[in-house]
Amino acid sequence: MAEKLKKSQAKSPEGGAPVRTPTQQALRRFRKNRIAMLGAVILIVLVVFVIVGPLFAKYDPNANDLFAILKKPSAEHLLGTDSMGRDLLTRLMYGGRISLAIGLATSVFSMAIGSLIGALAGYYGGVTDSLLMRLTDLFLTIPTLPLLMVFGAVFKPSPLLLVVLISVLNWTTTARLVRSKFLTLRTLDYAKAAQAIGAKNSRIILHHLLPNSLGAIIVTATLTVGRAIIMESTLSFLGVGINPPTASWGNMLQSASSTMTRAPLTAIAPGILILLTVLAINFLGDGLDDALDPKREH
Amino acid sequence: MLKYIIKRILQAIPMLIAVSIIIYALLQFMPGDPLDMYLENPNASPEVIEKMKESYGLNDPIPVQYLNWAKNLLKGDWGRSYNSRRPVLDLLAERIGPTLQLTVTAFILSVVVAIPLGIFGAIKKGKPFDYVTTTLTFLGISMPVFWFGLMLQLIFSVHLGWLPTAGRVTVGAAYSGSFLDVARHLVLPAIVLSLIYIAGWSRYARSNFLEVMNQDYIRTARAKGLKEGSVLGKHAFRNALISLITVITLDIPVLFSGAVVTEAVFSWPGMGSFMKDALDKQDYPVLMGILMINALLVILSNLLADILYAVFDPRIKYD
Repeated sequence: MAEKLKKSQAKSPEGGAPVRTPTQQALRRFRKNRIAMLGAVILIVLVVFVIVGPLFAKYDPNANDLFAILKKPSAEHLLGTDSMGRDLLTRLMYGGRISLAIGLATSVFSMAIGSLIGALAGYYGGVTDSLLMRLTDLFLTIPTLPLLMVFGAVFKPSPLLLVVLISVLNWTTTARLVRSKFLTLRTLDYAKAAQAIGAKNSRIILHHLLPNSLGAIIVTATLTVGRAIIMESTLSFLGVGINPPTASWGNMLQSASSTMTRAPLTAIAPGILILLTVLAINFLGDGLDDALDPKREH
Repeated sequence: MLKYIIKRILQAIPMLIAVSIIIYALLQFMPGDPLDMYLENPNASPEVIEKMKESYGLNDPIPVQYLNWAKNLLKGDWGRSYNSRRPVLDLLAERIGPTLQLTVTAFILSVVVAIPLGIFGAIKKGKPFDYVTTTLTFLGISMPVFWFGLMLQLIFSVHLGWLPTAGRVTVGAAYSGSFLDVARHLVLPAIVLSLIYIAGWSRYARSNFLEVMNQDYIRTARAKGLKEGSVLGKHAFRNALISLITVITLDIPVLFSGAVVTEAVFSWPGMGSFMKDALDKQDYPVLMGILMINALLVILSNLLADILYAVFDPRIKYD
């Protein structure tokens, strides 16, 4: 570690700009990208809002108060209440936990499935490759949204099951991406050298090829978080996602069409938070895409 | 070319069979039995139920049931709804009309808006127009479609009162169902459904056009003194169009299945509400029919995308 640090601070032989590791270069490029930084800041604020916020909430997110239905914003209820008299702000904070957690977990799960399948197909090639790619084609043919609606309606899934279902139907892009990365990487000299000195396949995949594909995987993972949040909100809006009374930004909008004439905030607020989150994630993903690709220095 | 097309069609068939097996198998795992509703009925003795099971073929092994189902599917017999007892294909035919009306309108709107937006964004790269459209497309891909619908309802129906909130026709009016009446109801749903495609396709068109503009043949066209208009219109546009056509074609099934969400927001009486009913009543033959239509559309659009690509790009030679 110390050696690494020294190296990174060392001046280049000509006494010019300091030598930077690829990670430092990427960080520099990222910090220069104002839009991406804006995305990062918005995300941090939102995460603080949903994690720390509930500690200060004085209402139970699921407690009905039939005397305070669809109240206008006031000192009592800063954003007003919903059709069951529940405090909107409190539910937004708790609902955000569910929505963000589902976005993150879906991203991790689908990246794991996609990377595994893509890595195996790209590294081993041949029959393994064609079998796995046919499987990928097959999953691309399955109509995702209608099938998720059927599952959601029949099984009334828990949040975890919902994450698994969405992930199982959404790993194909990652698999294709990782496969194409591996196809190029495995022909490079360092991969061949590792093979020549007798490194195990698992070691070459995990220590050489995967770290070098990580940039692309991170970008896809980031954008997947946003897509998953939108998918969750859509399913919940249709009544086949997160089941009430647990709040999610999506299911808070389920009855919005009937409440928005009296209390517009019940329809506006959860959507604004989804929009802000996904927008920030897309800014971030775009910035990471630029930052992690060393060819885009200029 | 013809040989290539036939080859691609033949490749699509095993895919279709595989998908139908998966969909069939998945629905077998679903809880509930078509005859559950008779269990509570005092007039239906266990013997009667057993007889009905036999007549529905529910006692056969699942592979046999699948083969029977697939055979009937090809003959145009998609089973009967558990709920209304009517043939699934007839019910689908009844409900697909409004959905096609909505999806085709949204499709045309998306293409007509997205392509010019993307191309002008590329030509005016770094200018205010580009910034504004890029920001708008980012917003477009970052919001849930249904919420965009709710907001438009809130603004244009609730507050301004310009357009109807929901439905396909005005109920109980003399002009109910006239062309103008339906068109007025169609405006908001069509805009909502086309939002992500306008955003996505214009982003794609922009980056694609920029890429084409860097090609040698564009430099050549300029170097030989062609007017800018003909460089852009003839050389750049036509080349950028090739991969754009593929992207657009591949999105068609998603547009169709995504219509369910827009229909739910605007109570549009198409496949969406049909599917909702079937989900509530666990009407598996109907659900299977809907899933099969969607899968069929994916396979057909993949096929179409490949064929169009071959037709429009003469550089690619197929054996």
